[in-house]
Amino acid sequence: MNGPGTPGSPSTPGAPSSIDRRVRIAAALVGAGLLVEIMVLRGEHPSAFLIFVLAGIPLVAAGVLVFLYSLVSAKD
Amino acid sequence: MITPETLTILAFLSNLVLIVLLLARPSLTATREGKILAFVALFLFPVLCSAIGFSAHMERSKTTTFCLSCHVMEPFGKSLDVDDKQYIPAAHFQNHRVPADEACYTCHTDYVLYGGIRAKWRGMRHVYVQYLGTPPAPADIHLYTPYNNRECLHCHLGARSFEESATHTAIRGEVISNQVSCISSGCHDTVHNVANLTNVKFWKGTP
Repeated sequence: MNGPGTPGSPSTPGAPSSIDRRVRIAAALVGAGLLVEIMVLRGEHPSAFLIFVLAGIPLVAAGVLVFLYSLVSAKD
Repeated sequence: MITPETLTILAFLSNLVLIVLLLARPSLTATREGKILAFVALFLFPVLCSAIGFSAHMERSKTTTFCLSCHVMEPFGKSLDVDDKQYIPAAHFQNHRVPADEACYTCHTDYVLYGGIRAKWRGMRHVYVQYLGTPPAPADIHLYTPYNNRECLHCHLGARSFEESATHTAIRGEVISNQVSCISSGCHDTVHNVANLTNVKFWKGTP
């Protein structure tokens, strides 16, 4: 049932499909964002808050958007 | 005992584990279960974790330690330890009239609807000046607007010590309507007074 463009199915054997690639990018961005967030989570200085807001949240948001885009762009 | 902080860290870590799994095997999303997993790991959990983290930072920004972590605020922190009850912040801090761990926020927030948000917004302005502007010398730091009696009366109005004072009774209306400031000259006029901290005695704290 998995044809080209179907989530998780490679268009050519062994090659990652575009959705796989997007899921990977999304996972990498969200992962990086969460790592930044967890590192500064207990920080008691305003710089920790700034890093959380200016680096952590945008990375997570970008990852979430890439993931949502991968959902809407997936062909049925 | 599991604290909210431990739960937050656990949520972050479990999200990271799921993300590593998706990074290693993105083809998992081909199945229905995989799609649910991806939705949880790449949407639901990250949004939730970020919201919890943001809220934790917002809460921490109320702490005395947070406010005093900027170098320019050090003298203001020192003024809380002055051994003189004429110093209003010191008398409040040392006698726990305000929570010691949220001393700055308790007096410097606005006790109105969305006052907390306004106080945080002012805090962002401080952060901007700290990192991108030129922070003034501690003695040159002043409030943006005159101190509002409302912040004092939030606790003191109706309190016996306030209501039974003859002075307060005489000017009660003016104090409530903010026509006479609580910290006006001759009343409670010694506040942080950071310019004169070199000549004062400091309280050593509880043993």
